[in-house]
Amino acid sequence: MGERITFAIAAAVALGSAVGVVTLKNPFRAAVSLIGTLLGVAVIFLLLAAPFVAAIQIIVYAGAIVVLFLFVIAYLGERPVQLTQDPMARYEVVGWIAVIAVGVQGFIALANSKLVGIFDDPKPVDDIGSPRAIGEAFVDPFIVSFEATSLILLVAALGAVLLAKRAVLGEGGR
Amino acid sequence: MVDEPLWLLAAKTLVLIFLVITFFAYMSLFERKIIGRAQARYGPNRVGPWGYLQPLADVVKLIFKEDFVPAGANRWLFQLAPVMSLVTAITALALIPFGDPVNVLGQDVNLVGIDVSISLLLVFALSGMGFYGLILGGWASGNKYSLLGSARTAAQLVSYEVAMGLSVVGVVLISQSLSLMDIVHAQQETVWYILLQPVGFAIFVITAVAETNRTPFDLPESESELVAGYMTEYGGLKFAMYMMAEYINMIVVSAIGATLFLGGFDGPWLPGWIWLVIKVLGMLFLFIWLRATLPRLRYDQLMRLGWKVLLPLATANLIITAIVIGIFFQN
Repeated sequence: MGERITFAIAAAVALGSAVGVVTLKNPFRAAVSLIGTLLGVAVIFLLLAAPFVAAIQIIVYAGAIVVLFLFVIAYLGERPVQLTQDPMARYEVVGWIAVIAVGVQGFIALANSKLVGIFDDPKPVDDIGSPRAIGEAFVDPFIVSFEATSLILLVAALGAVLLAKRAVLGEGGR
Repeated sequence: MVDEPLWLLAAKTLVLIFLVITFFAYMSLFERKIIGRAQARYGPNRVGPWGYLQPLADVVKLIFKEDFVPAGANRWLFQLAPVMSLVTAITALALIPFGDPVNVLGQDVNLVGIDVSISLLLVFALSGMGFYGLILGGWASGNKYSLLGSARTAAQLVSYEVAMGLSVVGVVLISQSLSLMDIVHAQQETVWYILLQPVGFAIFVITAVAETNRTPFDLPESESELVAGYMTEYGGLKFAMYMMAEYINMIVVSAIGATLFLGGFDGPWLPGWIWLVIKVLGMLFLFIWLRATLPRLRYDQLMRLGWKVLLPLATANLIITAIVIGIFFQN
């Protein structure tokens, strides 16, 4: 029972703040609202017995990435988005139909799925959320994808450095 | 680790909060006295014998100040931000182990708030949440000095958190645990990790000074450029909350440093918690000594130190530690 109440609160916070992220006009407030979403998701990870993922979610996403968002917004100055006449506005009905259709599809897919825990009670699984289990998953079954991901991240970092250097040179800097 | 009833947890929480607030009050006096000595003057010596009632006088003064919100401020966030800082700082205290379980009047008591398997990560998560108190406070004040202070806070804290995180991974590799309690026990069986990780400890101390916004890294509140940075518009009790959060963060980071590198509550003859307090006081003295000695860095120097010196050094330290452990201690 306690778990369900916690889940309901966490899910409500996550969804409510997510709505805030896309509807608030002031970018700084939208970014602050994103913190609520990330914290709600972290609580849901905790409920799924994945404390390591929950902690990393808070440290990396809530603790660093949103801080950088706020830094950029604070530096650029907060300019509320100017709502101009949107040329796509007359297709709004189509957009809503698409949203509802995707929702219905997802519901039907879930209702027909054989996934564990949707219609029967969830079964306990082995330890999959502890730091040890995640570390072993990285070096044993998923080593290739893990190394490939790290390579992609390295390439992205090098690319960012090169682009920044070119921009600085373009402005006549060092 | 023993099971505890709920009332005991609540009682421990109240005692800990009371103790840490008292400790904070006398720490501010301790700091002013030491800085006074370092600058060849007396420091506070008017209120009570040797100035020992000075913190009480300060509290009374701050309580009776007007609770002021500037006209251009975002009211809600402006009031919330100092609370966020203080709450995250105090919560982190619950994760620090003060000793093995003891028996008080027939009741087994854990000398740690909560002992979870990832307490080290939780400390970092809480410190990450604590940043928001500073950043949001500076933004919500509606003042350009405050805004500059909070932009600096964001850049500085994120930069130094990376090096700090890497500097403690060596300890995690050696002790094979993310639980602060287990790390202390591992040190009791071997040696204090400052002997195995001297570079890690040095990086940890430098980044700890930067993470708590202390001189020489106090750019977010540098009074010669930004009035008081992110807390320019704060006064009275809200200002007191920021001060409290800063000092409690210093206590927490010193306690984490003592736990990770100096053996935590490990020590001969005296009870464990006294050893921890002695080590924390030693680290705090270092903080104050640095403040009395060093001038503030320039902003580009701060960034260069963080990204071009501390981060590569921490990475090299981590790689060497990992290789040594991989070759010599495979089990």
